[in-house]
Amino acid sequence: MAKIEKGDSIPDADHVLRYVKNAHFDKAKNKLDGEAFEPRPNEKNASVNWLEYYSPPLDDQIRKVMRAKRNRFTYKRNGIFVRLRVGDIRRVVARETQGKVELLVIWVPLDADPTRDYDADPSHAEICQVAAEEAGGSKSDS
Amino acid sequence: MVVERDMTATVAAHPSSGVSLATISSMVTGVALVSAGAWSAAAEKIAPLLENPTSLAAAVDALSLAPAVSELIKQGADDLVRNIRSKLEVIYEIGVRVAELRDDAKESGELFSESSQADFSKFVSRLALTRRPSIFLLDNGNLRAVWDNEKKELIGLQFLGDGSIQFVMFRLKEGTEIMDRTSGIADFSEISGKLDSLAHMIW
Repeated sequence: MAKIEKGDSIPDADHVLRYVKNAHFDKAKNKLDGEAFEPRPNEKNASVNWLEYYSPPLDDQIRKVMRAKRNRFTYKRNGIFVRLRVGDIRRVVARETQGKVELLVIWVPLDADPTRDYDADPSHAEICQVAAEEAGGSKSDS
Repeated sequence: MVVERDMTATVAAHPSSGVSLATISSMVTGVALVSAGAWSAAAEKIAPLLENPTSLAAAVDALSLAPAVSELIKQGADDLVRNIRSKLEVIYEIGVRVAELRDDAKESGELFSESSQADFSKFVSRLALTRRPSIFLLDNGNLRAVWDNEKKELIGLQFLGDGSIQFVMFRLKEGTEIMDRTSGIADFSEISGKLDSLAHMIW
C-alpha cells in the first residue's frame, strides 16, 4: 500500500464501502437511487470507508468497518453495502457531468470520542465534490 | 363482487374497444386506490376476482351471437382480463414497496410525506402502469419513482406533495446515439404529455 497521509486522495485502484439504507435501494428491482451517494443529513460530504486500509479478505474488511462504526451508525438488516472502485466513481461522475464536476475521495480518519462512546474509525473517508477547475481543470472523461 | 359484475357489463357492451379497457383499468385501479393507506390490500382482494373469467364467457354466451363472433369476443375478454391482472400486479407491488418504505421511515424516525404518497397514488391510478418503477424514499420524505432501460433511457419522478412533480427524463433521439435530457417541475397533465414519447418505458 502506498504511503498515504490523512487528507490525501485515495488511489483510483482502491475501493470504498458505502452503507445504503432500504429507502435508497429497491431490492425487487435491484436498483439504487443516486441520493444514496449524496451526503446524509448529518454529513458535510458523503461518508465512506476505505477498504484497503484493512487487509483482505473482503468479509474481514467489512467486519472491521462495521466494528469501528458500531456506536456511530445504525445498520439495518434490509440495508446493503455498496463497494465502489474509486476510479470508477470519479470517471462516471466526470463523464455524466461533461467534466463540470469532479470528485475526490479523501482519507479522513476519525478519532475515538469517549464522551459519546465512539471508537476510532481509521478507515473513514469522504467523497468530496469539487468544481473541475479546483481539481486541476481537467475536462477529461478518462 | 361488485367489481366483477361491473366488469362483465362493460366488457359485454364494448367487447373489443380500447375505451372499455381504459374504463375498466381506471375503474379497477380507482377501486384499489380508494383508501391510499390500503391500496395494496385492495388490489389483493380484487385480483382473485380476475382469476376465473367464466362470468365473462357466460355473459357472451347469453348474447346468442354467431359462434365465430362469440369466440372473438371471448378471446378479447381473456386478453382484457390478462391486461387488468398485470396492471393489478403492478399496483400490488407498488403498494408493497410503499408500505415497506413507510414502515421503515416510521421505525427509524425518518421523514415520510403522506402528501407525496397521495400524489404518487393519484399518478398510478391515472396511468394504469404495466411496468413497476423502482421506488425510493428521499431524505426529504418524498417518494421518487424511476424507470430505466438497457439503453440508459430514464424517467425519474419526485412527487413533491403539492400536486407537482419534479422530473428528469433521458430519451434517445430516434435513430441516433444522442440522449435528450430534460428536467424541471410540472403538474400531472404536463407530465402525462411528456411521458408520451417515453411510453415504451412505463407501459
